[in-house]
Amino acid sequence: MKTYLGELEELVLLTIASLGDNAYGVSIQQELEVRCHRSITIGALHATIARLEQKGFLKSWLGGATAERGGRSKRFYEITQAGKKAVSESKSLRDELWDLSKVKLSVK
Amino acid sequence: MNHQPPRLARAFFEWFCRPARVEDLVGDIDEWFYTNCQRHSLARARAAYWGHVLSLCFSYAIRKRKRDAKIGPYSSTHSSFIMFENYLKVALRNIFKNKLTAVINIAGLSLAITSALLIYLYIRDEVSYERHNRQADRIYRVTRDFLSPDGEPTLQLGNVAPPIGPLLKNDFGQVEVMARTINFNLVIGLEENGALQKSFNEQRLFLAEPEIFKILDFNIVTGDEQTALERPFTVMLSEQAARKYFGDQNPVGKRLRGNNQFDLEVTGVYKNLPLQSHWHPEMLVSFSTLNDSTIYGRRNLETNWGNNAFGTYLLLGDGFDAKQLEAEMPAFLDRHFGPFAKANYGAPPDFVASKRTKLHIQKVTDIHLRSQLDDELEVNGNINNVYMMGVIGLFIVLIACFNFVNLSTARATKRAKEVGMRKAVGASKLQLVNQHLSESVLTAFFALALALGIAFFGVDWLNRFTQKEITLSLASDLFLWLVAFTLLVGLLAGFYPAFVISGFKSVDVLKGKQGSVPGKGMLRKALVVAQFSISITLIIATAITMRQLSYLNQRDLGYDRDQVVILPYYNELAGSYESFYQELVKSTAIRNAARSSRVPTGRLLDDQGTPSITKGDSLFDSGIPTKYVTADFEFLDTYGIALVAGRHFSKDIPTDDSLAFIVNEAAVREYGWKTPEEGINKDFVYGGTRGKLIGVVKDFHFESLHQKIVPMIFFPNYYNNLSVKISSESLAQGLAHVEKVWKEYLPNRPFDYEVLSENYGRLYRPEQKQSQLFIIFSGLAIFIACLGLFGLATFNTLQRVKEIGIRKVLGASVPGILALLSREIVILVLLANVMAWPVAWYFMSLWLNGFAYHIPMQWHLFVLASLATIVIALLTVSLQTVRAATTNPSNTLRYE
Repeated sequence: MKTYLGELEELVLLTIASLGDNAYGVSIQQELEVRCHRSITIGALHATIARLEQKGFLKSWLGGATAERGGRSKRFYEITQAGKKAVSESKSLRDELWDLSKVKLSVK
Repeated sequence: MNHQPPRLARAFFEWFCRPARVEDLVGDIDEWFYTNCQRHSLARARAAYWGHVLSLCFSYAIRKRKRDAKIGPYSSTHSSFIMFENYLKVALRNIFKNKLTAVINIAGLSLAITSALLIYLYIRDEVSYERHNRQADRIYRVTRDFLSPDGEPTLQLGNVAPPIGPLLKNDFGQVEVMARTINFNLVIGLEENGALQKSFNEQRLFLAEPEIFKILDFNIVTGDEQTALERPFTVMLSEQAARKYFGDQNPVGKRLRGNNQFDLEVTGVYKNLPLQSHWHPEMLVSFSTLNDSTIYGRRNLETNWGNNAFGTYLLLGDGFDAKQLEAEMPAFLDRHFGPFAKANYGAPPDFVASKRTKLHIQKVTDIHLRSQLDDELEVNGNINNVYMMGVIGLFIVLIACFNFVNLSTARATKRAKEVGMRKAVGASKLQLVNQHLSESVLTAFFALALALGIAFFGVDWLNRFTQKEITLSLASDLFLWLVAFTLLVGLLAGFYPAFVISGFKSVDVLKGKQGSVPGKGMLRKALVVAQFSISITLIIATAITMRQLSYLNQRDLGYDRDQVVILPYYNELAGSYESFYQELVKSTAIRNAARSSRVPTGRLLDDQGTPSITKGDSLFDSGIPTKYVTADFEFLDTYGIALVAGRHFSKDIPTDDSLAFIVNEAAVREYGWKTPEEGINKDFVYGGTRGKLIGVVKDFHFESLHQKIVPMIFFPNYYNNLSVKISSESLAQGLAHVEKVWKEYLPNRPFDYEVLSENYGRLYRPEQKQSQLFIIFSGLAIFIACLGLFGLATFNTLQRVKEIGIRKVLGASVPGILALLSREIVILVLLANVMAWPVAWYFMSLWLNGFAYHIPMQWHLFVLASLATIVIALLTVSLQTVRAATTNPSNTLRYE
């Protein structure tokens, strides 16, 4: 079954992949802001994460207790095989479209 | 750096997200907060925190987590709560699926809870008497018994002689405060500019010592409680009395006229005592007024041991035992009353005061429910009624609980599959018990909600019925009690079915074997028997009460009570009474009129000791205490009292005005005369007067039928009452005539009359109320029991539908099947009768023995009650059995 992957969803998935084993709420949000200049609200971020989890592209687990945030544990996210497949499909779709382009797209 | 995130925001967030787990999210926003604290101001960090919270609250993430929260990684709920939610769901489904069972359970329980609630309110009111007094537990009243020579009490009074109070205070250190009161019946008038404006006959006027305020709690509106009752001829008014005489004006300093003889200065106003008090004084006149020799006299106060009219209240010191004080009373009487009686009352030298009179120290809180003395100030309640009501309430709740148990256990078989499934997927026995208990508790709470609705109307009825002012307010801890009570009822009723149901073997029920209740439904049968025993007992009690009451109404009292009105007699009429009387009887509307000290339906409280009578040739002390009623020459005729020997008083015989006595048959018997004629025209000494016995009247019921007819004696003397017998056709016309003559002769006296037959009715009002209560509650009990029976019958016939079908196919007749289905019920109800009869017999004998004159125990009432219950039970069951018996077997057996 082909699942549609939204733009923000794709960004979040890629960001999580880029963060490795330190992908949790705050770090994802900061990374999105620094690297993609996307300032999104915490609610929007978690809504997206929830949707991705629902679609099976993400899995999560609770980490241990932490010292710096009142002892509350972080929930870490990791991209699943389905998630990897979804981003790579998305990428190959784009590559295909790039190749088919009749206009010169790259701007130096 | 030690700034904390806004606590309210976090609390709100955690509350909002229940039951989802959001620890990670809280951690995230906290982390943002700490970061923001370093970068920006605290205020901005806080604002950002709130922003994060709101952003998350509106986000899909929380919605999803909450949706998933029940089971799964985000769940924070414990599994037993999940199950409770499931129980609730299943319970509701069950209630809606089995509407009949649910309606029977809820209707029965809610009626039971309503009854229990109303009964509780009534009992709470009854036991709250005197509790408004802060020192209630230390307040006592002195009461006095008079004993016959063989030690039997002949008279028990709640008021005592005036010297007793001060002597007690003087002799015993534990008496902290003592106060005396006395009830006077005065005509109080308000004069303005020398003209009488209003006047009323004040029956609730008391003279009281100022110390009364230190003992009982009065809420004084104006006036100083230290001094208000100090000076003679001062009066304090209740708010109600103040309004009656002075309207909205301030009464303090104004004057009222007492008996047209003296002025009373108003010195204060107090709030009327609450309903839950044993007395309700409308006016308190200073006790020192009694020192005036025209009113009572100082010497009388110190020495009058015979005038037992003084309410004497004691406040005992903290921790003192009234029993101890009471034990000192015989010695106290011997010390003070003994020598006095010998010196002044001509008591013989061997007279021992403590052998002829007793003093008791009675708790003031006992007056309302545990005191039935001969001169109580107001009609008291009765602790037995309180117990009886409590037991009835308990019974009704029990009957409804039994319904519950019966129906649930019977229905258990229907739910066997569900139980089997639950067990198969791992429900523990405890969980199943929990499930069924929560189901019955839920039903009980439905019933509670309904009951509260009914009770709000019921309280009005209760107030009208008991003449109380009870309010049902849920703001009190009553509501908590109700909830606890309902919980208990739900648990009790659900306990047995829960254990039976949870005990089913899942293998058996899932294989298709019917889960069945062990023991052939012995418990079910026992409960039906218990329910019907209770109902039958109540029905028998109702029947006997009603019979006894109609007996009381129809019994020949020996005097004519119809169309008699009673007026107070005033001594100022003494001079002109003859013309007053002639004026009265001139009208054809008036049959006759008579004066007397007391009138029938009242009590007989006066005696002047034992008369000396002539037997053979000698005069000697009869030793029989004889109550007297002073009566003028017309008294016996006015009341139609029959003479059995001798003659009436006569105007033609001069000695009749003071030296003639008439006694009743009871006296003749007690004196030991063989015939009524024996003592006629012989010497007779009573109260120190030596005269002749001139007549004997037939026994008649002067007092209520609770009392035995006692020896009585009549003679002319002082009078308090005027009885007017009106010709039967024209009560109104007769009354108009009496009023006209009254106004002519006694213009300053209010025309306040009482109707004798109403007084008579009042004598039996407690019993009347009791019988109404019995009717209502036995009706309720049988109704609830029938509800249960109906439910049970529905279920039983449903179980046997196929059996009935097969029987019909094999040729059973409809009556045969009806008999088969009804036989069990008849046996159970008969058994219930056997159990109910001895109980009803025992308690109703006790009750009837409270009347000196009562109907014999009537067996046919028992039989009738039994027949009635059997018929009712059969009718109830027939609603179902007839349908089952007449169903075409092809319908019921089609699928076999």
